[in-house]
Amino acid sequence: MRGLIPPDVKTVAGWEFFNNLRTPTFLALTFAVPVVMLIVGMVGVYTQQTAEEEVARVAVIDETGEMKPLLQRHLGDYPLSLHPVDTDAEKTRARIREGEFAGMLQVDEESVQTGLFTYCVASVPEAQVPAVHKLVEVSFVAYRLRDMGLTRQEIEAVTGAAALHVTPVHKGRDLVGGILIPLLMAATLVFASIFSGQMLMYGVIKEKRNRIVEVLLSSTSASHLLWGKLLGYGGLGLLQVGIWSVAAVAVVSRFYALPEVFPSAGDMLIYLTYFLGGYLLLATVHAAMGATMKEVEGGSQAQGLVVIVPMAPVFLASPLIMSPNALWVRILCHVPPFIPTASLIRLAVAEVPSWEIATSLGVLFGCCLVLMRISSRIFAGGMLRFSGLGSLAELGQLMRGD
Amino acid sequence: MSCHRQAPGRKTDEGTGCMSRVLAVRSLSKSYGDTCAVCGLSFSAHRGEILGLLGPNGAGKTTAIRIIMGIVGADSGSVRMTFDDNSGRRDPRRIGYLPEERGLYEEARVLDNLRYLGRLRGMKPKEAVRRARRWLDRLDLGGWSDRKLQQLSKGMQQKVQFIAAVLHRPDLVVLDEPFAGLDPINQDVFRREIASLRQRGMTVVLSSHQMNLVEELCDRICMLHEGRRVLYGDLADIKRQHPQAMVSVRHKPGADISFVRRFSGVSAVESDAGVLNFRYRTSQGTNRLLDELSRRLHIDEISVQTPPLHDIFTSTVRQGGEPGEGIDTA
Repeated sequence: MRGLIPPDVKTVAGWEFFNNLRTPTFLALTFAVPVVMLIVGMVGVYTQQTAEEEVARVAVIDETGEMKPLLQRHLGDYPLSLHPVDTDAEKTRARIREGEFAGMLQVDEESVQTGLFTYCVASVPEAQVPAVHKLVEVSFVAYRLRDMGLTRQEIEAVTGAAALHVTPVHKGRDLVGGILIPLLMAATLVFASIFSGQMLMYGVIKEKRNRIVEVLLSSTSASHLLWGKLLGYGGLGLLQVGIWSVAAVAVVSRFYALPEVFPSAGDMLIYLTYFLGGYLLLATVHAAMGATMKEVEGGSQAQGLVVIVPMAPVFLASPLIMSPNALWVRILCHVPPFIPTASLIRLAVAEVPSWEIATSLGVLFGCCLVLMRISSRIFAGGMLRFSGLGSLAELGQLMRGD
Repeated sequence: MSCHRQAPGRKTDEGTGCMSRVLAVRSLSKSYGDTCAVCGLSFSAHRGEILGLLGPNGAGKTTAIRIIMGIVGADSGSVRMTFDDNSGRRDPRRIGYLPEERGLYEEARVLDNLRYLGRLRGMKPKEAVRRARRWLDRLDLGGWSDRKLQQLSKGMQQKVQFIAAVLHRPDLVVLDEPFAGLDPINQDVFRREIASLRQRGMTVVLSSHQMNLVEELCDRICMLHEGRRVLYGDLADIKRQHPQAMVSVRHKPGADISFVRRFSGVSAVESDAGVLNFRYRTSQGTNRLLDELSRRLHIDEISVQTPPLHDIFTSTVRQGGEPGEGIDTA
């Protein structure tokens, strides 16, 4: 390490690391984000549980008089309570409006002929519509079977609920350990690389605005300055991931046995390699962008454009998780801007052949090297343009090193 | 081997009696599009001297300095630096730089700024801090070392920037407009410190528009106009060879001085209460002027002086970089 990294690169990296460690931006991103995410997650879980546990009071108008006992018999664990009411639908509607009932289920002769039942509700989310649907479905099947002459025992034998025992084959782990946690880790790494790249870009813009860049460039070369910054901010990103991981381990260990839910050391190494590649890819672009910017405001607008491309696979996460080995996913995992995010999501949900990991990492780091050469030129030329870039032609000049 | 004459009281190479060349700029050119910012510029700076790099705004000084400092590349020409190793390469540990576009990390402490910049110039952290504290005390900033830079006044920040340029005891210091934005008291402080750098054997390349300070500090000057060198050499020689002298005559009041205005080679005539000041083109010969003055006026005192650098600067610029014959004394 001593001979591998030039002293001035180490000096710059050390400065960027320790100087930014105490900044409000880093502290907020590192400590506030997980807290916010935890709170949002807890609120979501609580809301879902509350919604699931809430029992809907359903008024039942049964003109046939035959469905009511069947509905009651099959009620079981559905979050519903059934309340027979008189046949005046208008009065019942008024009671629904007043909040006495969540909804009103109407059964008449036509319903039992056609199978079309009316469920009148005040608010769809609060009326437990899926539960009512299932209850009506089961009860109506029982009604028809009885109509066909089956005895009660026969009906129960036919309509007896079938249980589904889910056995995950995925990496021998369950939904939480096999998918959810790796997905969260993937997201964490992607976010950390974006945050680090963002901080790097703002740091570069600030140095331009502070005018210190001329002193720096007289002390060390532009490429060494860039390398030092990449190392320093990369270290910050890793520290951030480390802090988030420790927090995650602390939380998850309360509910799961850690070896069952966390990836193996080998998998972690692959994740971190993708993180490193993703960080280098984003950070070099951010550094070059920062060097061409005049103000932070311009930087944040341009940064949005840079972040949206590597984040694109997140928007495709659902189909990607459903078919992680589809051809389009494999291609996506070899297109440089998408590689880190797409590969991390894919690795989280599927066994990926080693050769595919090797080729996608090869493409990723090859692209990083090319990008770093171009970015070094833009960085060297752009840092002293205090007015920012005027045109794309100027950017072309910088890329050529003119 | 070119040999620059020894200035009084200054160090020379052993045995040769010559001042050794620390910086040699040869045929340097740099263009931005169709504009030639620096056109074939050549000059050198010697150990223990202060070389003034002068010129009006846009003359190419900052571009030349940035090329010297390795911040931007030249289209052609060379910059050679000769320190102990004789390699000719630019070594950031041996050079210091105070840029015209000044700035430090405003949210960092003064001492942290200096330690970082000292380390980038090859210093050990402890040594950087030790020297930084000494410099801060010397420039009356000892109590500010742990403050954030943004808490300091502009003059104080400029002092910190100056310290950053000389903290690592470089052999060559390039100061681009060091007096800009300073009040007269701080200008004096900087003048004193720059002079002390020379005393310590450092070579200083000084770019400034404050001609009185340049005149006071510089041993030699190199003046640029539109990217080209228009004046270069010992300041005393340049002044002596300037084609215009400043003449001051104290005479008996009430005399008719209108003949002076008609005299060939005379310009900028000012007369007040028996004191007559004017400029005179020396190529016209001084004897005829003195004869005429003594014949027409009752003279109490007369002096013929070389012009101040300010006049040489302005007249050279006004004439589009044509100062007259024989001014380049290199």
